[in-house]
Amino acid sequence: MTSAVTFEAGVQWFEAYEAAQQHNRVIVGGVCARGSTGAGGGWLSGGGHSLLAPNYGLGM
Amino acid sequence: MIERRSHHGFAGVDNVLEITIVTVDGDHIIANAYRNKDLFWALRGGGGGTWGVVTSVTYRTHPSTPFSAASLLVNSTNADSMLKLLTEIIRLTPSLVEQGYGGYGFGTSEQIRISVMSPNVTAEQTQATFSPLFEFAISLPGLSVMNTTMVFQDFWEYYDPIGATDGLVGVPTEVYSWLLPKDVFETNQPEEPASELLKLPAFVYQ
Repeated sequence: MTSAVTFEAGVQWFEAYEAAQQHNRVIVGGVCARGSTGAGGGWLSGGGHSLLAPNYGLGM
Repeated sequence: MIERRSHHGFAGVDNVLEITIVTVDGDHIIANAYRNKDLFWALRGGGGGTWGVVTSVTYRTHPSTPFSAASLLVNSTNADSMLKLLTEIIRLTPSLVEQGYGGYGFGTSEQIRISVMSPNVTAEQTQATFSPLFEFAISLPGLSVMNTTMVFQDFWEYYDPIGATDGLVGVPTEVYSWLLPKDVFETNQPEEPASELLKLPAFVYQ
């Protein structure tokens, strides 16, 4: 079974990771300071590079 | 960046499952592996804003695990030492990726910072993997070296201090990138990419 989460446009990575953490999960995403790359679209359209990619694949 | 599973192709390792988008026609549609497949393909790396306005993204999630991490900060006054160190880092990279380490490196001709972590290895394994690199860096003349290994109980423990800072955004920087296949590291002399990287004003190594 696949577990998944949907983020609407405007959600940023710190919000995405915090939400995932509350469910004891991680997401392949970007690492950036508060107020930069968006989880819902912007990061993904660049191909989705992540420090988790060697284990879980690119974001895209 | 080296894609660990590149022999399966990128399509086999995707994390995005579905995207909703408002297209230029004004339609609000769903794109996934079954509906609007061509648009779903194009959206995954096709450039920001090219295909419409993305209104939501659905990502696969993975179980939370501890991470074992290593970091290295080197300041240099010796160009030859810097070339030797970066060459060694590049030479080690395929084996680090095979062990699941991912992360970021930032460099100039005068400073290299790398920070990597893996969910698949113990603190002892990380220590064993990185100690030779740390010792090599310390042995080179003209380098000031700070190094550490650590364990994060989960991804959030690593990320929270970064996410809690106000980041520098909107920096007027021209960025370009290469995705290097693994055989570049295996068949070429690693001095070549190291030498080219050190000629740049700054580089990010992923």
